[in-house]
Amino acid sequence: MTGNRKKTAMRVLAVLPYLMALYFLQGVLFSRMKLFGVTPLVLPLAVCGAAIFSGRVYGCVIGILAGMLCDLSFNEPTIVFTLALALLGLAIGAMAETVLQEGIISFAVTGVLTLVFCAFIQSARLIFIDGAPLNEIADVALRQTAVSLIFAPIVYLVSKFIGKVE
Amino acid sequence: MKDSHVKKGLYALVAALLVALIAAVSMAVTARGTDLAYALSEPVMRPLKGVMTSLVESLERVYGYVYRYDSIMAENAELRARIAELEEDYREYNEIIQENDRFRALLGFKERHAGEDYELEPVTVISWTASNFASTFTINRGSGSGIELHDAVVTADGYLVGIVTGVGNTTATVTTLLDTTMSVGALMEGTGETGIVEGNFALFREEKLRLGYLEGAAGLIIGDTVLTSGRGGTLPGGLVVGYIERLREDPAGGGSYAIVDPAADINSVTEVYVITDFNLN
Repeated sequence: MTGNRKKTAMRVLAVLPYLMALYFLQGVLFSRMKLFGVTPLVLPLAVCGAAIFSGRVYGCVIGILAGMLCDLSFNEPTIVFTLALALLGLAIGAMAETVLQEGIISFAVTGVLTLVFCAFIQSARLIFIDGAPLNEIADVALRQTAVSLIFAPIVYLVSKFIGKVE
Repeated sequence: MKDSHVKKGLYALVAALLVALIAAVSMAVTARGTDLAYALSEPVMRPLKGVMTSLVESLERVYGYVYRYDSIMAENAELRARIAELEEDYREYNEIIQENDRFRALLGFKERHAGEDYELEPVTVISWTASNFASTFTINRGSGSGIELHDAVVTADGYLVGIVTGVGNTTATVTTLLDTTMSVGALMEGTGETGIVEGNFALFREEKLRLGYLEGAAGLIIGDTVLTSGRGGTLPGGLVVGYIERLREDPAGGGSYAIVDPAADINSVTEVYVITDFNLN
C-alpha cells in the first residue's frame, strides 16, 4: 500500500468512531430531543471538514460513510444521501486542493452551502411533487441549517485534528 | 541605737495589730459560713471559671460530633441505599400500572371491534427519523413476526398511527399519518361522507391532517369522528383516524376540505400494535 493510501486508510479508521458519535447525535438523540423544533444535520458538516483538510479522495470516502449513516437516520434506503455526500466530498475536496484555503472561512462557507443543499434534497419531493408551500419549506430549511451550524466549531476542530493524523 | 529598737518595736506592734484585725474579720466572716479566701478570690475567679466552663462545653460538643460522625455517616449511607431501593420499586410499580392501563385499553379496542377478528403484534418504537421533512419511525419487529408491507399500526385504543412502509427481518419502518406521502380512505362516522385523509406539509408543524376529495363538504360536522373506510381492503375499516376540527375552502379552487385532529398523539407514541391480519365477520 502506498504512503498516501495508507494515510487515507488510517484516517478513515480514525474517523469511524467520530462518525458514529455524530450519527448518535443526529439519528438517535436529536431525532427525539429537537433543538428549536428541528433536528440538526451534523454528518454533512463532517464531510465538509474531511474534504477541506484531507482532500477529495478522503472527502469522497467520508461522504459515502456519512451519507450511509444519514440515509439510515432518515429511515430511507441507503442511496440518496450516500451519493449526494460522496459527490459533495469529492467536489469540496477538489476545490480545497486548488482554490480553497484550509481554514475556518472555507469550512463555514462550504458548510452552509452543504446544509442548504441537503435541505433542498430532503424537500425536493415536497416542492416539485406535493406542491407544498415554499414559505413553510424555507422556514424549516433555514432553522435546520442554523441549528446545525451550532455544531460547526466542534466539527471543524475535530476535522482539523484528524487532518493532521499521519 | 535606742531609737532603732523603738522603731522595731513599733513595727512589730503594728504588724501584730494587723494580724489580729485580719483574724477578727476572718472569724466574723467564717461565722457567717463563708470562707474569707473564697470571698476575696470569688470576684476574680468567677468570670475565669465562666470562660473555662464555656470552653470545656465547646470541646465536649466537638468531641461528641467527631465521635458520632462515623456512625452518622454510616446511617446516612444506609438510608440512601434504602431510598434508592424504594425508588427502584416505585419505578417498577409505575411501569406495571402503565402496562396494565395499555392492556385495558387494548381490551377495550377488541371489545369495540368484537365483530371483527384482528391479529395484533405489540411492538416498540426504537427510533424516529432525523428528517425534518418526514414523519416515520422504526419498530422492533419485522417480517420474522409476521409484519408485512401496508399493515396498519394502531395505538392500544385502536387509533390509527400509520402504515408499515418498509420491512426487514427484525425491524420495520412505519410512515405516520402526518407524513406528506400518506393518504387513507376516510369515512365520517356521523354523516357517512367519504373522503381521503392525507398528511400535508402546511399542517405538519401543527400535527394535523387534511381531509379532502369530499363528495359533499356541506354535510360535515365539526367534531365528527373520521374512520378508515376500509375500501381497497388494505386497511381494516372502522379504525379511528381523528376528529374534524374545522372546515376550509381551498384558495386554489380545489373545493372544500377539512382539518382533522388525529386521535393518536402520533409524535409521542412509544408502544403500538401492528394489525398483521384482519377478517370481517
